Amino acid sequence: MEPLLEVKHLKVHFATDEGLIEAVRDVSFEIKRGETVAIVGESGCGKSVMARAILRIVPSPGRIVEGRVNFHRGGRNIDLTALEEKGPEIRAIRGADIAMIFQEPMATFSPVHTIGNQINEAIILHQGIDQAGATAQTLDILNRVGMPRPSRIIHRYPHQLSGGMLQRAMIAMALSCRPQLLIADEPTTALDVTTQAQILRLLFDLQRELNMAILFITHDLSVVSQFADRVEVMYLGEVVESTDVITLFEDPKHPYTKALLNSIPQTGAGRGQRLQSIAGAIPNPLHRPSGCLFHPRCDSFQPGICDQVSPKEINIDSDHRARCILYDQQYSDKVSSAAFDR
Amino acid sequence: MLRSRPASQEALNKADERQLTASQWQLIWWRFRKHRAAMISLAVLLLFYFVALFAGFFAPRDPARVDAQFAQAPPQPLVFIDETGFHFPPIVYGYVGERDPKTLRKFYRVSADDRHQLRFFVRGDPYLILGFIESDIHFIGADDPDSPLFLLGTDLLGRDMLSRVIYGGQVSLTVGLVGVFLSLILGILLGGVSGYYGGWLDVAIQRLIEVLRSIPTIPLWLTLSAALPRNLTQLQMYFGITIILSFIGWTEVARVVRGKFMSLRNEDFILAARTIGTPRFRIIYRHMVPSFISHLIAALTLALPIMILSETALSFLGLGLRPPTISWGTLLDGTQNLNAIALTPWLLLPVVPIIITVLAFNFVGDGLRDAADPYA
Amino acid sequence: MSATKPLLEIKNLKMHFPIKRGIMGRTVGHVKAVDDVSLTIGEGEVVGLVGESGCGKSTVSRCIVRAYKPTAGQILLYDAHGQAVDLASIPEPDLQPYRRDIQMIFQDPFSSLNPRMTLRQIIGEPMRNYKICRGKELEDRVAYLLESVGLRPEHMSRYPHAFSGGQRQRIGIARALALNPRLIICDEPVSALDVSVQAQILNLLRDLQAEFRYSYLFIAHDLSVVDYICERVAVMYVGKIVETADTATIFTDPHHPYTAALRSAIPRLNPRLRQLPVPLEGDVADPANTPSGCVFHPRCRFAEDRCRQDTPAMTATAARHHARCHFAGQLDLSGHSQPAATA
Ligand SMILES: Nc1ncnc2c1ncn2[C@@H]1O[C@H](COP(=O)(O)OP(=O)(O)OP(=O)(O)O)[C@@H](O)[C@H]1O
Ligand SMILES: Nc1ncnc2c1ncn2[C@@H]1O[C@H](COP(=O)(O)OP(=O)(O)OP(=O)(O)O)[C@@H](O)[C@H]1O
Ligand code: SF4
Ligand code: SF4
Ligand SMILES: [Mg+2]
Ligand SMILES: [Mg+2]
Repeated sequence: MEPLLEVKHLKVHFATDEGLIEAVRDVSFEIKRGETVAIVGESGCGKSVMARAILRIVPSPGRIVEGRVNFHRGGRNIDLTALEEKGPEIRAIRGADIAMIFQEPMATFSPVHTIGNQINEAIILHQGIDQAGATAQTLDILNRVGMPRPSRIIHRYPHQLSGGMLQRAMIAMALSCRPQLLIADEPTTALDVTTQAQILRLLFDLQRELNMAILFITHDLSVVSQFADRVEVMYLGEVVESTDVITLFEDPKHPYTKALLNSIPQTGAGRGQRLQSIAGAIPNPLHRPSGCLFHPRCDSFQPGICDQVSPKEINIDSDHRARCILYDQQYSDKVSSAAFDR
Repeated sequence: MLRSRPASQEALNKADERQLTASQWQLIWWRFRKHRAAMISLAVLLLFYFVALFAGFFAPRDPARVDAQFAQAPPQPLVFIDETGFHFPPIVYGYVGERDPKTLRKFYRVSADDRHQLRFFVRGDPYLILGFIESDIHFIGADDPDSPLFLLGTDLLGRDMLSRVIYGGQVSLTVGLVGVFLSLILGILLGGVSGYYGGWLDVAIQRLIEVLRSIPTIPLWLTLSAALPRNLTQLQMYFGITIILSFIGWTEVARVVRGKFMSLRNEDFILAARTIGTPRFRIIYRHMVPSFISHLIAALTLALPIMILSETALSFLGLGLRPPTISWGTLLDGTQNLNAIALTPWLLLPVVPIIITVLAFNFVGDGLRDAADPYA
Repeated sequence: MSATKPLLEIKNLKMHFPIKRGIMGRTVGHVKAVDDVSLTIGEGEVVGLVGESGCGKSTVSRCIVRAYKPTAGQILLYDAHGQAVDLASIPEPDLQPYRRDIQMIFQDPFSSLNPRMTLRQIIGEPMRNYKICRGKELEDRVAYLLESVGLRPEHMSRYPHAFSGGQRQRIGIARALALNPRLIICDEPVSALDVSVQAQILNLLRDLQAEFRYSYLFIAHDLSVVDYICERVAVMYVGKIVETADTATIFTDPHHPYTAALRSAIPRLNPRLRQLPVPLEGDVADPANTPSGCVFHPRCRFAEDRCRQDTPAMTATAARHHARCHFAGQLDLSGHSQPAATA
């Protein structure tokens, strides 16, 4: 199937007073129609910046320094990075073809307008229909996201809604123009588990109904396992492993992915088994390690190689890539076989 | 569990270690240093205070010495180069007295016919170093202590303006400082009590602050200074004015301190201090006060110029300090007459150090405010 | 399993915060943050307290360390001879000798350490306060504590800003251990940490417990973390404990509908076991305006008239298993936790 969105060698840098932060170093992946791709990684690894780069809303002083983002719309192939940042083309795509929901719903809505007005406005802007038509659509979409009593909610202000309701309202606004791609940046991280379950269920049902693709950003691997078709694992601005969800959980290749999976407690596992922890901490983005970014914490560290060469993305098979020298033919004779067992 | 690695992260050099063991004040200083305007201003201020501290040494003359024959003399420029060559130390030209043919008023002109060689560290009018060591050495002066040397001109009575400006700095530069210090002490005390104990004390102090703050400042000051008895000594007058100036200042400090105490009370590290059995008083001075004192100092640095200007304004209006006390404000007292300004514009020169001081304090305050929270 | 002596016994604890309005500070209502909580922690026992945000977990822990003076109820601390003091009622100055028995580890590794003190001062402060040791001896003990939480003693002169989140959490743990407490309250100690660092801290806490037999009250909203570290679990909902049981049984055989729902809402870590979550309807009740009868009734699919009127009491449903539900033990809660077919 033809991909809906292709991200190719995307690089986003922040030139700050303290130094250059390579927030996104080299990220490539694609999303097909109707597919759910999860971007998973720890805090600060560049997930949000990458998502914002797709929509060209990188906060200053961030800048896309390299790469392409190809979006396929009606047989046309548009490179979003080539569009003018505040120009009409990207604005027409933003909100209509690609919508985004954020971790903090409060920040998305203006506190001085009612929920109804704000969703109406988005509909009018992108569909050019009249107020009455927009209101009807707003009620319909609020109904669809499972909002209780939509006709009353539309007159409420954001601060009068609970976190879960606000998140529903934001999803409603994002979906009001039936986007082909929804970027969800940690949509449930700030919510309680029971509310998270409601929202995930909702996204799941709506995706089926609208046949939309979702780029799902999270740091929670268990959400990934329940929700995603494909997974891109990020570490310090790079995609280190990329594969389908089953393979990721059953046959992970990259040492970071493996370690992460072993370090998460699971319900039902009980107190018996000891968790395997990952040594050290995430490095400061201003002081990146040399060579492989993960090498100071990696259990399969190969002295003389990992701290010197930046690993390339290696194709494990047609649909599985890992950024680790263990799988690089070039070094196969130098790598001790014990490295694979860990 | 941390295995040693040839990783860049582990190899911390000395400079890093310095950063990691740096105290709050070091971090603030490092950040402050990056602020150029603030650093320059700080240097200027230090210079001003240094000069004011050793005013007797830097002032060429006794500021009270009346030289009636040179009343209203204009400033003498310092001459480094003239037709006779290069001079260091510089020379000054003397005055010739003339009379305006129309108004018949006497005035002075600087004339190149009369030269006076200047010297550093010359003997002149006696004075006291820091108020108790007798000395008569001056930074700069003419060979002959009685020859005219008025680099900023003289006033109506023929007193040297430069010396008076330098001595005026002693008062004007410290009135604000003492006022701010009083505000700080009062504010921390009352604000701390208010914020820490709460209850009816808090309510009472809050209402008092509200009342004080609702009175317009200028009339309040005018009333208070008018209420000061006329027969005070110079020193009593000085403290009277500082107390008046800090009358409003402390309310702001108290509000900030109270707010900080209230929010800090719920901070985890304060709760942690309680659970490990830290006594209440130690929590206040070891944990709470240090965490806002730098902000407060920055805020007060920004409040200083207002105090300095207020002293000047009150004195200018004749309601603050009064002659014979010398301050930048009282020096300006004589310039209320427009005519006088037209004839003797150099009498306005005390405005220059006032402007410089106010600007410098503003820059330093800005720098401090930006650097005050190194953990942000 | 612990049929041990009790160390801390919380009885009918209530903490109601007044809601004040207007300049005169008139009380217009109460936030019932903790409303009738009873819980016993045995010597050397690890008890988990789970529940959603705002259900009152932190308030319980803050009552135990007397950051708040409870509105009602008792917090009995037993000494080695079985003598009890009621921490909820003794006057503040008399608390001092008991404070050292109960220490706390906080959620936020940044706000819980004074940034203006070095590690030596931070970890040494509790020992100074109780005049346990000083000078060289104090320094040695700080070094020992740093080592036991996996930090380097030579970093003693550094300030907290020199450390990452996980390392700061270790510093907080060292401070809590300094007084050799009997009970350590861990208020979400890993929630604020990077995923890859959480396991380090969990393992550290577990190792310390195994070695020194501390009792833990371990607060979390993440059931799998609790499952990993606790022997017994109490589930809280809007200020009340709704179920307590051994960890092994509470997730396999919950007796309260809320526990069952909470459990099913947690995504599994297995892409082949995709389970369509059966979400609870509605939102968590507002503790300032709690529903009548059973606080859970607006969201409970088993609710009946009786639930809307009578407040259920905690009832024993099995050995060491209690639930606060009128129909505890009679409901079929398995539907909540059935995995759906693979997606
Ligand atoms: N406005 C900014 N200015 C400077 N640096 C920034 C800015 N925004 C992000 N960064 C840097 O970019 C990097 C990636 O940040 P990003 O917000 O994408 O992380 P994330 O993966 O979304 O993390 P989280 O899980 O915390 O949301 C970080 O190291 C951060 O320091
Ligand atoms: N000092 C206080 N004054 C008034 N209300 C408070 C106070 N502290 C807590 N509350 C309220 O009590 C309720 C319980 O809060 P608490 O912090 O105990 O919840 P929690 O279970 O720890 O939640 P979280 O998981 O978010 O930490 C909340 O509704 C909160 O708003
Ligand atoms: S390249 Fe080396 S250090 Fe990096 S993940 Fe692979 S084995 Fe580990
Ligand atoms: S008492 Fe009623 S409402 Fe409450 S949990 Fe039990 S069945 Fe549900
Ligand atoms: Mg983010
Ligand atoms: Mg809490």
